[in-house]
Amino acid sequence: MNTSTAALVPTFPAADSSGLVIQTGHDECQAIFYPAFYQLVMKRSGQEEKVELGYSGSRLLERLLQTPGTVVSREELMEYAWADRVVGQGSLNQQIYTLRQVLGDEKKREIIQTLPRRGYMFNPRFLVPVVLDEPEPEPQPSVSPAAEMLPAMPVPEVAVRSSQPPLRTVLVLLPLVVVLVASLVYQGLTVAGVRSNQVQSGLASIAYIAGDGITLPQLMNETKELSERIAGLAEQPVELVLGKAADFYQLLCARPDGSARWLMVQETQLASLDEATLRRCLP
Amino acid sequence: MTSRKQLILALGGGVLLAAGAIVTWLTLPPTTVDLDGRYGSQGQVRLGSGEVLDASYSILFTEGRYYAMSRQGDVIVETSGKVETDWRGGYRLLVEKGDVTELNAQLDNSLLFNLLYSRHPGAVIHLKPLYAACLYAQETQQVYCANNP
Repeated sequence: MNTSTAALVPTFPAADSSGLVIQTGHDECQAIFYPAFYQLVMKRSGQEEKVELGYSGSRLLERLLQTPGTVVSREELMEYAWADRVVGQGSLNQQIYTLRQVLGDEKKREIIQTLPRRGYMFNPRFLVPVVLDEPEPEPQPSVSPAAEMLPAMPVPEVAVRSSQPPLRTVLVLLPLVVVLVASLVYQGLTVAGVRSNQVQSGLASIAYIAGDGITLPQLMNETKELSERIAGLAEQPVELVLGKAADFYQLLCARPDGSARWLMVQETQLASLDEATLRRCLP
Repeated sequence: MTSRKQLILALGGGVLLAAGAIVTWLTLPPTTVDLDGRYGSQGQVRLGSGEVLDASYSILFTEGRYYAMSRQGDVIVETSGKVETDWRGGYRLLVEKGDVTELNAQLDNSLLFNLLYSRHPGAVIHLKPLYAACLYAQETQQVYCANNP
């Protein structure tokens, strides 16, 4: 596989890779990567969708994007994405699979390429160059200190215009913005659950998903004992997902090979769970 | 007076545009589906009675359709239908056909409801990425992981 394509492409933004635009494998869809927020913003047909990559996934993509066109070894990727933890090769495989899935690359594997026995490489052909045909504007004194602290993100066109938009434009766009925001909030509330960051407990890394009438603090509080018990039983690093739907708690135990076992427990039975049942879920 | 007229015109135009956007959004055709292959998972269910049942879920995606089998203890439910994508990166399963092979188990009501919902023609099940190569069926609370991620 050709790994020297880096020389053929334009220079891309600096090493922190904030706000890089990626051409995805989905139809007419580009993704903007914001490593500071562990997020990809997918832009398709004028609509935007935020995809949470999680810490490890985001770090992985960040490292690959630091040197597009160059092979990064598996060891280096694991060290970069899981700096404070020892994880198996399966975790890397899973995160790479997830990134490919998000980028619409799980079949062709052109965007994140696998170099057997060498590592992974981000194909620079899928980076969208930022056209800079005007000199950088002088910093405006009115910029707030908070704005200066934000990572270098692509600046929307309207943000660099100094003149105020005409009232008519605002009035025309306002209903559209209201509709868009309302629909996003509606979709977010009705479909997506709220997902916590990974919580490390012993060898277990646990993500909590709230929703369906239960908040994150409630869920974490109600499953505190379960989390501690299963973390205590884990004999190797394991990634768990804990949630609740209707009157059942759900525990997903991810396995290094990408498969998973799960356990559903009726809420009145949570305290009665025996060790053997918990062990069957763990890898 | 002219500015008031302009204001009314602008507001009217804005409302019309918003209405157009809503209609377009609601009538957008489903996009193509890239789900393919076998997914599944195994696990256990601890019922309210304390009984523990083995359970497994299998689903095959092919050419925009799905064929699924869910097993919880003695209850086996087979369903099939169409797969569509939604614009947020998830999928929708549109149930067309479903059969219950066995129904003499002592499942909890909410579990039975999930299984029976999934086989009801016209039911919609939303699939969301959950973890790595795993998908979560929201309405039926089932997990499907790619067999060969």
